[in-house]
Amino acid sequence: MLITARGVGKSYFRGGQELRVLDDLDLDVEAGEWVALMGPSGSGKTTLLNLIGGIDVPDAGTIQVAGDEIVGRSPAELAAWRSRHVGFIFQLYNLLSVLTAEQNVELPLLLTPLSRRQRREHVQTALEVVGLADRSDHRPSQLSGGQQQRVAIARAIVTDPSFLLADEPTGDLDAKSAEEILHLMDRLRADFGKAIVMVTHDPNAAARADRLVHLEKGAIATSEAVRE
Amino acid sequence: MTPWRLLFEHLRGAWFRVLLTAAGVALAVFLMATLRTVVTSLQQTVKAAGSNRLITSSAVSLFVFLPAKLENDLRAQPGVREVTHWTWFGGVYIDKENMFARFATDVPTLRTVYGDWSPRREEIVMPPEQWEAFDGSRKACIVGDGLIERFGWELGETIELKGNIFPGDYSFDIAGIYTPGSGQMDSQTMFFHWDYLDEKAGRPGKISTFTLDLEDGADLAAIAAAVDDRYASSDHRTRTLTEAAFNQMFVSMWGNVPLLLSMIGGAVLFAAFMIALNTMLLHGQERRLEVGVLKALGFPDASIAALFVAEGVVVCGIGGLFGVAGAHVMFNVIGVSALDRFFPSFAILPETELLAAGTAVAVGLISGIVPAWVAVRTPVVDALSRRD
Ligand SMILES: Nc1ncnc2c1ncn2[C@@H]1O[C@H](COP(=O)(O)OP(=O)(O)OP(=O)(O)O)[C@@H](O)[C@H]1O
Ligand SMILES: [Mg+2]
Repeated sequence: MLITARGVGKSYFRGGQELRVLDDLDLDVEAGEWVALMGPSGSGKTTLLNLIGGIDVPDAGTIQVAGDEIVGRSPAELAAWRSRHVGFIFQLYNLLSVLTAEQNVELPLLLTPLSRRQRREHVQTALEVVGLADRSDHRPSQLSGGQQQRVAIARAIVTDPSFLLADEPTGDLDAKSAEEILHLMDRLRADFGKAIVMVTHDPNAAARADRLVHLEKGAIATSEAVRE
Repeated sequence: MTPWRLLFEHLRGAWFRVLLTAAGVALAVFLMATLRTVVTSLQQTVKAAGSNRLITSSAVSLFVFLPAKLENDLRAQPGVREVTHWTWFGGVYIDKENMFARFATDVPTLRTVYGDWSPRREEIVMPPEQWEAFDGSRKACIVGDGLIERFGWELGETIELKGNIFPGDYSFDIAGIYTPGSGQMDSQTMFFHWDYLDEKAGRPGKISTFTLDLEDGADLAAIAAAVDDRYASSDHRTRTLTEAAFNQMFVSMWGNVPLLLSMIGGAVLFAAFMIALNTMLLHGQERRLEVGVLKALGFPDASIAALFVAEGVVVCGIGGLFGVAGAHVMFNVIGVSALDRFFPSFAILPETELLAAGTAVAVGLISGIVPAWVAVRTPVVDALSRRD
């Protein structure tokens, strides 16, 4: 098992009132598995993703990734852990606008001991995987939404993380670009063995996953294998 | 580990904002350095004063004359080595605008107290033959090299002055050009024969100040007190001060100006600081998402903070550099003569340059630390969210 979450709880306080977003939630993700997370708006999908990715901390429960417990670590430890294990893909790409595609993809490699030349090679490979090697010196503003998301995916995979977390990766794209992204994610799982946890509102996107998890009011309502 | 490329790209991308901020800081630093130099120049005059000289003037005011006959009394005072005297002539050279100090003096004693005959530091530096020429002709005068530069005069040239305190037309031949030997002496002063003035004015025997050059080890305070006591009940009471105190009195005629200037300098700097801080904070807000992404990718807080602090220091540092360099070139290289008229030597001191540059860097540091602190304190999830 790659990810094992047990009894995860998370609340936010708003105006003195407790809002229970996640309540005693269990989730397992196998290595190389593609899990689609669906559910109504506000059901806690993004919150769950943030907890698994170690950019937020739960109030209760444990989360083990590849045998390591990530709950209870210091922010600095979590940061270092993220840089090695997690690849983030956001709905709105979140590329840094002042950097070129190449520089954006190189960013996470600055946290590794790789040499400049090695970094260059890794960046080139990642951009080739997403099919944008010829756009390496373009800035985000010079790329379409679909292309930006592909650069973002290259940035997410360039450090060869254990798994990818994607929050509505096709949510802002037209059907054709969305299909390209889904196809790319399919390849990442099939060819590179990356586990993927993807939040989506799109049934077509969810149908590409191995397993479909339904979140309802902070708890898992259903979890079923997707039959193609 | 720190993505310095980002710093470079942000500076390049926002070059106009960078330019404006740096220019604001440069201007403030320039102003601060200038005002500070006014203060240090004033202090310099006091510091450079000789420690063996007393100045005797009228106790009433500097604008009241003393009788010339005091000279022999003063010279007879025990502990006094030599006495010379200066008399403020006023006057106009062609136009009222052409202000510079003109003093009537006694040449041999001036030379003994301030010139090459002095056993101490030479304040009025001039070749002996020019001293001879000055002494040799009643209508001769000497002028500072600053005046030569200002009016393009030459040695031997005749200059015409119109008297006001001492009415009449006066003409002088330039017999010597002196250079100031220390910060005490001004480079834009003219000296001529008191005797010539006194004769033309009908022998009124008026003198502004006497300079008492004391013997080594003489008790300045005791001699000053003795002199003033002696004339205490006469109708020409005197006030005798050390040269430093006398200069200080001139400085204090500026009243609280030095303090005021320091305050203005501080205020200007503070304004620049606010501008820099405001710019950096705005910039930090715009980069919230970037901070979120860097954090999510696993960049440590120190790297993220370093980007902001470095940006503040670079922008303000560039501004400070230009401000200091501008002041240096203006006062120490070109030498703005407008200010030379008020100060014997208007030059920005190295410590002032260091202070100004250091202040600019400090302004940059603080205006970088504040957004850095905000960035570090923002939780990753909040920085990434587009909720607000
Ligand atoms: N930082 C926060 N402070 C307060 N409340 C929050 C915060 N983050 C999330 N919430 C609340 O927690 C609940 C779950 O949010 P979450 O973003 O996980 O939902 P979601 O399932 O991803 O919804 P969507 O499909 O709209 O993205 C929502 O009611 C949201 O308003
Ligand atoms: Mg969400």
